[in-house]
Amino acid sequence: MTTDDRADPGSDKAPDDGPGDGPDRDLHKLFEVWMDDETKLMITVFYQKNPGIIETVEGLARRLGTTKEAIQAAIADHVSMGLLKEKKVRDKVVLVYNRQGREGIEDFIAEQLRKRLEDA
Amino acid sequence: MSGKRLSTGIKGLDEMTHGGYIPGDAVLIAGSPGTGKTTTAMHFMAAGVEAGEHTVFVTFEYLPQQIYRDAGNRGWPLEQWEKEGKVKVICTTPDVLMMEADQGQSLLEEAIQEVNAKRLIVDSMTHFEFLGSSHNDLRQDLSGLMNRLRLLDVTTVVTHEIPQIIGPAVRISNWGLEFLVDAVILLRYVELEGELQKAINILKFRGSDHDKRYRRLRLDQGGVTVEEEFAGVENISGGTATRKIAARAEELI
Amino acid sequence: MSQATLAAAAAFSVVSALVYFQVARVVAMRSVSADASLAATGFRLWWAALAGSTLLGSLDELIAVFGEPPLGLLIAVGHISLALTCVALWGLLYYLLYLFTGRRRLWMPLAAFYAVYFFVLFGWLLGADATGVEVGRWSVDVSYAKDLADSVLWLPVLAFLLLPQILGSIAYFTLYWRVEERSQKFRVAVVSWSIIIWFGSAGVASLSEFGQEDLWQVTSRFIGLAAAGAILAAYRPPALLRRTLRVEAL
Repeated sequence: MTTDDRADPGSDKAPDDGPGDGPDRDLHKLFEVWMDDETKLMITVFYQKNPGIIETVEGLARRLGTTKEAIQAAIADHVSMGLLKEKKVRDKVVLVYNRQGREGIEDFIAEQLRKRLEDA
Repeated sequence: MSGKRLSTGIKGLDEMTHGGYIPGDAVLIAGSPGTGKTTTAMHFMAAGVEAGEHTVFVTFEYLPQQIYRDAGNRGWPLEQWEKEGKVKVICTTPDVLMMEADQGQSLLEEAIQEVNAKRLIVDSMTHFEFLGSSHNDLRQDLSGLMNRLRLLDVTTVVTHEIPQIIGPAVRISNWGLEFLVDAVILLRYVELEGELQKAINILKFRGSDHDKRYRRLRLDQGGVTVEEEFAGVENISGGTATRKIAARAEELI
Repeated sequence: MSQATLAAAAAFSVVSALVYFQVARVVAMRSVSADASLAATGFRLWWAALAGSTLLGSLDELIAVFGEPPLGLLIAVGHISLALTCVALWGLLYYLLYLFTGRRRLWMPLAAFYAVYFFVLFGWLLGADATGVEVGRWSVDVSYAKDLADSVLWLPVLAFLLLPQILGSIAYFTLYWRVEERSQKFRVAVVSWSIIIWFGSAGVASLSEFGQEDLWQVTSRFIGLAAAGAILAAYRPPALLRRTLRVEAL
């Protein structure tokens, strides 16, 4: 395999994913942080709607009409949560949506967004 | 040749191609904006789902959510198919796709393996022209990609935009894409009787005979329909068609 | 004596005009596509305007039977007739051009041309200074201080009045080999040759002194009436022709 996975070994799973488990308190806390950051929220929603996106940080910035630096700062949490995986592609790094760990996180995010909208 | 054909998903186009695409071939659908290139390709994807063959759909410009929406509007539950593993939609850039191509397994090959795809759609090849490579390099790189796909026994449908809206067709691509593929289907606008109508024509279909006439193309909520030929009409390739003199004489004399 | 010939001339004109009107009615009954509709209208206008112009001509002749028509009336009739002729020529030429090229938009430059043609002729006639009425044996004309035949415009005017019909009809005849239906071939042959003979003979007569002879006056009117009748028969062939030639009415 020529692309090496820069995420931690076992990063195919989300940190708190387990069969039948819901996201834990760290996830809730992280999500509260996200909700206050427009860029992070934008990235989350973007990948939720477009799970097939494979892009570099620069490409993602172009698609979202923002700067590379803003994206770079915002995706760290996504990667650490396992929502996005980083893949090395020759001399570039691309971001890939983590479809395997996706299901539980996605439901959680969808629920949080829904609650947020109701409260607004 | 076994004679097996893959339905294009469009009845009239199956008739024009005498049965559909040849498995493993690369088919180019070229046309002006809005003529139905992507939808024509989607028909092939939908036909694949029906036939139990999976598809990888590569888009460069349009986001997957737009592709899901457009497919959904035509009655194709693309998101559901993706969840079921019948289709995989990838949205990336040509350089990411190409960079991988000559180093073992690429992202594209991974995707093809993931869903065990036998069909690939790339929408659209026009974006490769923005890579900045020389035409020669581009042609060689894409030739390599096409060959790899043939080895994987994947039938590929690629789209390509012709910027000219109307008028005599000048060239399909600047770098010879039409020579790299096995079949070229042209979608174009024709002015006829004061209306801008759509026409479909098969320019090339290697390995098989095909209908060489221009036929009417209709694009609506249900997708693409290939209708009857433009009877009694000439100069369609010029963009402004006129009915043949015999047709005019028929109603005026 | 001239009253009898003028009355005969008027009668010929009225009958011819009625036949042209009938042809216009018959071709109007045909349904055509949107693309061909303007050309079909042009063809109808040709017949209708020709009928109108011929009828106006008969008015002069009829009045002259009872006395000299007023100059003002003759001039007015002449101008209206000229306008109708330009409309008729536009209609015929547009019909032929559309048949051969399929280009609808040609109506515009053609209309512009005939508008200019009309105003040139109109100005020419105004400038020619009408002096009185000439009541001949077969026709009534306006006499001008300046002889129109001496003008440098005479030949071009005559050419644009007669040549479109003659050349157009020759071109129309070439469609004989391009249409497939027997009835269409019949119509093409009869219509084109009727117009060629009709306008061709008028053109030849205009350029010679023979044009003023009584014999020619009678002959030309019979030619005109026969041509009109033949054209009507091309669209509504009598039963004998339908049986013999196996052609159908439009």
